[in-house]
Amino acid sequence: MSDAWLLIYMLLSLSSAALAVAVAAIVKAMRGAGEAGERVVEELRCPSCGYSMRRRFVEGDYVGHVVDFRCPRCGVSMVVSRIYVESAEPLRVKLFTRRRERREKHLNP
Amino acid sequence: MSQPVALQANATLPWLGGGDLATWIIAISILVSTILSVLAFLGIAQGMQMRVWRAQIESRLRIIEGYIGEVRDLVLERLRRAGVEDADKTVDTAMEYFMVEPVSIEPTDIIKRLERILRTGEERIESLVARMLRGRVSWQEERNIVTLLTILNALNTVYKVVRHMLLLGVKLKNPMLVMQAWMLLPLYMRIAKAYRDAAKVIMKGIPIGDAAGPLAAYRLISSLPKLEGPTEIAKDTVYALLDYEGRRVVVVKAKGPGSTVGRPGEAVEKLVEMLPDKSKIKAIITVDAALKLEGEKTGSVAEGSGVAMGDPGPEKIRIERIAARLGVPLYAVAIKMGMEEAITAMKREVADGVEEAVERVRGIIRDVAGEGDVVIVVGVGNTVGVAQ
Repeated sequence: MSDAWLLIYMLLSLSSAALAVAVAAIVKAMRGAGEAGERVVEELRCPSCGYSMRRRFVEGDYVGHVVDFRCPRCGVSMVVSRIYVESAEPLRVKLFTRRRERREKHLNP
Repeated sequence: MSQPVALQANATLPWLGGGDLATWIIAISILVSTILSVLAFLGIAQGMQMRVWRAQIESRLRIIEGYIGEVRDLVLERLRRAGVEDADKTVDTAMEYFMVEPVSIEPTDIIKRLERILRTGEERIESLVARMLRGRVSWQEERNIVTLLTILNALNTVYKVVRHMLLLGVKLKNPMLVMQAWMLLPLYMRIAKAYRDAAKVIMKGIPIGDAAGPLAAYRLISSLPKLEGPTEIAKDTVYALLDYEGRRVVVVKAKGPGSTVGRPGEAVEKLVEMLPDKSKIKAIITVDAALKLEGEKTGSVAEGSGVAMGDPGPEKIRIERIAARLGVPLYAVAIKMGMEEAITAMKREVADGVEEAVERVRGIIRDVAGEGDVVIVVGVGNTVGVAQ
């Protein structure tokens, strides 16, 4: 009888340890899901009429480069005016991340 | 009368049923904890802790080694594409290149001596690359390769410093040295990862956060009517003379879109010498990326006084000396960002900050200069991916 109880206690301890590991893994995975991906974009600007548009960065382009793309409004070759990296909209689990996001935003705007 | 430990455990835990197995488990646990306590007093536990730290440092060192391999492969691949086959020796030379600080116990002329040492280092790496490439790639790509070699050198230095601290601690059996390396590890890893990311970005010619200053200069050059330039005035440095509501604005920046910081101090010195009426100079404004404190917003803009420039001294002091000699006010506009953000691809927040910085510069010019006056604006930083 006593050995049976001991076995139950041991099983309970092992299963709670396994549960803790599983919860930790799920929380970590959710945090990872909350992290955003990044993409490099460039802004093109028409030097004549000021029309601007964005597109994915093309290797070889630089700020000030006159690209082989004409303004849809006036037909003048457009110029790269800015190149930057921006965060892609992340796929996130909102239930646990919202509060954390609010807290982090307060600390690190 | 005191009872044996195992019996005490049985007495206090009646729900175990007093079984033999339970008694043995408790007895062994007490024995193990007693042995561990004795080991702790003998310093053996500290030795075990040192082994754990050592294992963790070694695993991180392997990661940094991987970063070095990645950047090295990037450089070699780029050189191979340019037709350079046996570049290993040159890459190794650049990787291990070092500079010796000037004697500081005698400070006379220390800036000139420091400048000579820095320029010698810079010119040596540039000449190694130029000799390898022999004009087979464009000027900006050549500059990008020089910067990649500089990054490789920095990564190698981080690796060697951490390895030195670890091996010295192990050799002297000094857990404090190993602990010091272990505690600084997150910082070193941040730096190493930032350098690895920077290499990939510079390879593609994407502007980095530090390009905020040159980008602000570009925005001024492209938005105001040009009277002169852009013309090269010092090595890898250009200036343009612009008209802003009757004021003459001289904008200085590194020559892009290759990766270089140019020589802004020397350029300002030459420009001031060129101006016939120096009393017309009403301000020197420097725009630069500045390291933010944790908690500050990336891309936020702040105004201050002085020369906003992160160089070791020679370029900055030239502008300070001119300003002091002529009694010209020095204004600084800083665009805030983190250390990683400064050397990796420019974030949108920083690009937006540049727009605000340009507005602030225009505001200062309007406030301090009247019609016919001259204001010098310097866009400080690495101009990778930003032309003029």
